[in-house]
Amino acid sequence: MGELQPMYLVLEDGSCWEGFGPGIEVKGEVVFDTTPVGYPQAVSDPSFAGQIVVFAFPMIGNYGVDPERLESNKPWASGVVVTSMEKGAFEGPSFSEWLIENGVGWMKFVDTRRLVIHLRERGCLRGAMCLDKRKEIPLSQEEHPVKTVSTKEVIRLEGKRGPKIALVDYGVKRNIVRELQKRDCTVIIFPHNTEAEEILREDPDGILLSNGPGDPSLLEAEIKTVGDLIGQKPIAGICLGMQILALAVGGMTEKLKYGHRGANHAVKDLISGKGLVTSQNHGYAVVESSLRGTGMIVTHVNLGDGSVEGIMHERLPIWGVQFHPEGSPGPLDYECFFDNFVASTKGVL
Amino acid sequence: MMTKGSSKKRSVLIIGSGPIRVGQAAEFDYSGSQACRAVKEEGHKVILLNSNPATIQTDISVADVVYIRPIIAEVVEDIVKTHKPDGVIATLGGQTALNLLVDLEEKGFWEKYGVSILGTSADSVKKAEGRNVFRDLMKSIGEPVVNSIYVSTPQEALDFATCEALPFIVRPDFTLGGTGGGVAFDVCELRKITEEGLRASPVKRVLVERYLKNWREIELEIVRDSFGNKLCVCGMENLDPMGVHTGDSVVVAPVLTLPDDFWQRLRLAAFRIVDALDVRGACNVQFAVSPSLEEYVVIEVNPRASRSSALASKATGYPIARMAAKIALGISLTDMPNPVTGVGSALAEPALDYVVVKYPRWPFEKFPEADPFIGTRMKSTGEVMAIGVTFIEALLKAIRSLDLPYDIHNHEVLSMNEGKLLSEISRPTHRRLWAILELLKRGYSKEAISKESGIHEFFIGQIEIVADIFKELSSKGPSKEVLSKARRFGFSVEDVAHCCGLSVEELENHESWSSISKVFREVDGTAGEVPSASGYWYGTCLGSSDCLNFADEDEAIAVLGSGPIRIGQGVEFDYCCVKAVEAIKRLGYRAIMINNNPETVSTDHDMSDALYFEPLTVEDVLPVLDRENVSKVFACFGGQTALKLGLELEKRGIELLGMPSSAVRTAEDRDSFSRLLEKLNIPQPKGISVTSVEEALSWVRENGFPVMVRPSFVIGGLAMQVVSRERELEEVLKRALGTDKKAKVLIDRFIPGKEFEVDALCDGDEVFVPGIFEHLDPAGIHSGDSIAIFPDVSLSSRQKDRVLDITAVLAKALGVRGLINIQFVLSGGEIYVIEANPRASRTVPIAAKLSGIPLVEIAVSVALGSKISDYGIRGSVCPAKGLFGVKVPVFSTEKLPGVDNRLGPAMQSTGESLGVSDTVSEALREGFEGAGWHIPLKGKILLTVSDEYKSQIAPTAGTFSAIGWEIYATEGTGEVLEKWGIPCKKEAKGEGLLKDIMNKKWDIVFNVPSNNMSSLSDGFKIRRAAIESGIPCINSIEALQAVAMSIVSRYKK
Repeated sequence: MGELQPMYLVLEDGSCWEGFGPGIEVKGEVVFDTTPVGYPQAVSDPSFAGQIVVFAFPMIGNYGVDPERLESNKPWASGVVVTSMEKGAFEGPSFSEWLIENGVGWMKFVDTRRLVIHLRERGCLRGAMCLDKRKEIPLSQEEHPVKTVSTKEVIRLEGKRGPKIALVDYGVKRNIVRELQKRDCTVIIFPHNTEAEEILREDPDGILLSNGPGDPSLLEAEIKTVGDLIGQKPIAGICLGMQILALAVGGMTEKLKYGHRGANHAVKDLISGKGLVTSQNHGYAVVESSLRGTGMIVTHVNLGDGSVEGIMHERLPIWGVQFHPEGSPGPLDYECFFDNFVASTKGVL
Repeated sequence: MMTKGSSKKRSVLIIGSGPIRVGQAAEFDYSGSQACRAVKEEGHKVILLNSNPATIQTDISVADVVYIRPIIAEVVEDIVKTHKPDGVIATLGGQTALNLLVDLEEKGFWEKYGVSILGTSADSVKKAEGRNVFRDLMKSIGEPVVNSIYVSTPQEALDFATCEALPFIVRPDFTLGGTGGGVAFDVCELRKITEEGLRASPVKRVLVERYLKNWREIELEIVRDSFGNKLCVCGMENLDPMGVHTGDSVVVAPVLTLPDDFWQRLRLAAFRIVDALDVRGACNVQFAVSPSLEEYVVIEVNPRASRSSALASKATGYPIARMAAKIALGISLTDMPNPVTGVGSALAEPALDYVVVKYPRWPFEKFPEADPFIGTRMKSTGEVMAIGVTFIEALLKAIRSLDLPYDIHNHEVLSMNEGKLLSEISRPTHRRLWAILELLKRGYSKEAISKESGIHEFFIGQIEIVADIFKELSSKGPSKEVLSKARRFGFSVEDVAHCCGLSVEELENHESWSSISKVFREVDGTAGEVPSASGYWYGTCLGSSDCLNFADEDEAIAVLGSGPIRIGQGVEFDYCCVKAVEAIKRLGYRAIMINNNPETVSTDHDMSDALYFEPLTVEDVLPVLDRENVSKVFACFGGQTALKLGLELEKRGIELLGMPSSAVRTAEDRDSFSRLLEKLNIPQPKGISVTSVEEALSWVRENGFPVMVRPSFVIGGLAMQVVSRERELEEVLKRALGTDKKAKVLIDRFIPGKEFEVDALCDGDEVFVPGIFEHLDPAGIHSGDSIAIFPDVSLSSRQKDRVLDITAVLAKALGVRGLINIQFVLSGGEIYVIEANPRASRTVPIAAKLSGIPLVEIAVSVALGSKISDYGIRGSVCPAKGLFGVKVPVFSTEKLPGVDNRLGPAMQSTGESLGVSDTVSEALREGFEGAGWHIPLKGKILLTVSDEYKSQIAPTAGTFSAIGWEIYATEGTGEVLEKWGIPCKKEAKGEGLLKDIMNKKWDIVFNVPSNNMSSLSDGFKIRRAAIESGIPCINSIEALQAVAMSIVSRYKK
């Protein structure tokens, strides 16, 4: 790993956080995540693309990286900030080595508790991880991160007897694909900017809009495409996918102060009345009042801050969830989301 | 059925867990008190049954009606007939309450009286606890279990062994703390352990199953409501692999070595299990995970609050028992606010941003003769918890919290050879961690140690970091780099100073050490995501600055807790601390609690204005006092641990409230105490304090035997003994002086007679005594182990006045502003003072509850300047209320093979029960029943009495005979009885007799030992056989008389 050097995390509000790291300089929006395990999955979730992730749990790296269990082929976060980066005891690459190999910057011995509270109070800030305290902070990102993380070409994964699912990739997590494959689906993964016509040409039984990074309201083309798909096929959305659905019917989204990133969020299913513990990773949310008159109703709410966690169309087989039913990392309390989706494509729901 | 929204006030019976014993300690005071408060909070009436008088739960402020009575069917029936409760909650009182619930349910009792079982149903309990039913249920939902078989004879176990692979683990059915189990590596052992297990099991069944060597043990604490909503409050990982009882394992939270996908598998499996069982409340699910993460199996499910749920509550701040009680009332998790932050939902799973380590506290220093191995039988009496940012910080804090007589360097493992060290880790003892550290220091690889010990390499790697820092400190001395590394990892100032050759003061002033200061963080259950005002703090050296954000104008006062539950320092001190905190708050101060025991009420963060979960050492406590601007502390409520710490803090300029240190020094120092008594004209046994054997011998030659030998600053009479011979005296002194170089040993003439004690309040002018305790067992048996009656029954009014006079004179002379405990012995018509402790004693909760006087509250306000008369109490003794209380000690020696359970000056009991009635005999009966002695009206008794006492046995034996008991006696004792004309059958000593005891031929075994200390004596074997087979074993004629009287009292009914 080589010698670690003193490094600084400089934030746009002028605060500077000291630590040690391998010297890889990166920049991005600084967000915090409260999940204690599943850091390889979290960092390889494309929704973290371009972000510097602060792990609230202090001991990271206790176990290694299993390439078979990642959420994409590489870590997408630009940087990782921890209190203690452990060497661990296992076969295969360690978390810290894996980050370095993939050019992801990291820092340890940062007072992550204080940093989390700082971000909680001020909201997520842009920042730079650097060797020199006086580094300039870039003000905005040039390109929407969905463009970076989405597949460039159509990928077909043949299933046995299950329905054919069109999966629009805004930065899809592998576990969503695995959940569909577990249900014998044929999965066709489309790039984010695929037009409605092209998707419908495959005559899928259902369309799943994936999770992904960034501000959903800037994805005008994607929103239009989804608008064109509505009414044609059963459609479900996860995370960013749900936000795009809401925008496509005329709803609105807003940026949360510091987002929901963790594996412990309590959500209430308003239809069954049941509570769920969910995995979440989002910085934007659907504005509840904006759904009035769009045909969408709220099916799930966050028991913490009351934000919209799930929506459903009054008449059409269209629905979405803001949280991650596929977990990874995090709970799988709502795996039935995939059962329901697959059932709907067979006309059962 | 009680449902949410029914605004009608209902009444709920809550069943507690009874006396503290190994396997069932203070955790049920914590969960039980929380349950009572939660039910009251919802506007219902709480009727509580618990026989343990030392608890907060049995304080009248906790429930509407408190019954300190035996936890048995007859009593429940009485209560139910009187109060007609609408519902009963039994899932928060440990196995005792749960067993009673199921027992009564099977008899149709609850249905008959129209009492609904609230929370998890009896049916669910039976499914989880009956191992065959449970296994079938697990199979039906596809959850893997270990292949196992129930047997009721050793032969069945051997048959099972022919088609399964060795080794096997043997677990008896329905026992506390896994009593009587073990691991069998061959068929001979299997037979032996099965036989033992069958004896221990009340239902005479044991389970034999595949032993999962070196599998990891993971526990999940689940809370589920009646609507099926559920969350995993906390995952916990046992450092020790399968085979070590989880109560005796070092436990870490959250789980550190499992990747997310495997963790989620276990979490979902636990959810399927609680759904299948229809748990409505708390549930502990234990899994074994194969070393290479290929498979897991479900080991055990406890559908109730447990030691683990208490630990999980303290580790996360999430009050499991409180939520379980609300769930029992029919409230949904989705409708309750988050109990830690007050914001958000009760369903949100706690997220941690720190690491928690629990470390067991074993009683081996009290029982050097006990077998030191840890395994499937739980042996620890208590535990500590520590919170740190890293595992290492938490582990080192936990070790400091244990309050052991040795530290990390000064340990017997240092002199062990490699072979011995390796055996310490492969067949673990309480020295395991020290042995691992030593092996690492000697250069053993972590892989080898991991393989040998079965502890995951990750943890050995962490301990290796500790070993490397120690090595670096020793070899390089105090360099900046290594000092700041040690400081950041949470090493103690003593350990580091010792290693690098500095004094503690030098190190404290060393720039590289002092520049890193301790900061405090709040436990919020959300990893910092949500602002919290839990007031629950821990310290770390890994933070850059203090997240302090409270500005409180009230003056703060701190209470020092008593640390882990030990013999001699039990839950009674926690009662005192909690009552003190309440009083401090009531008087308008900010109350700060500092303690490290996760089982207790004092570490419930709702009790104090601020709870600091920290080791009770100067270096950990001083920063707390600095931060809170505290200059005054109460060190007099947390037993000897708090007292010792208080004296150290005083040297650093902290004021001790209620207990001037001069009083403590006078009382604890033999010579000055003796001079004071002389000056005050108070009779005392002659005595001397010595630092060498020679000094002692010359004094004894002048003053004669027998003598009482005791080291100073003792908890529960450590190594205290009555000695009658020179050779014995030499041996005892060598042991006592050997534990500490600076140790002083006190030698007193031993005065045989009757003992009394008082807990008195003193405000400087006036002294108030709520009553006098009379000890039933003779002098020479530790007051904590003696049956005691309150108020006294046999003192004449002149003698009583003398006791009160002495109390007043002594309390004032010592300058006490609060509580003092004084022990007396009555001999030849004279009252002697044998001991005085200017602090709250073990008996304070009992005296307070029986007299109805809030002793601790008054003690607190007196210490802060009030007068006793402000409380409207006049006169020096509380007027008798016509009720008698009898405290009966409860022992756990059956859990500690090798220990002699004969009573003596060294305390052995772990807990106590209290019987209350208008006659002493009836109170005795209740006390015995509360202690778990089931003595029939007519039965069989075996008497075996040493020569010194044979002449005194006849009247008591005569009583037993007269009420129809069959008397059996050993040869010599029998001859004496025959002379008196008492019919008895004679028994020859030897194997045959022991076998008969094991087969429960007798209902009581009475053995008065001679002064021969040999553990190979017949008496030892008889006593051991009796306790191991669960037969009441009585050691003194006085106690036996009490038993006779308790039987007689039942004839009156």
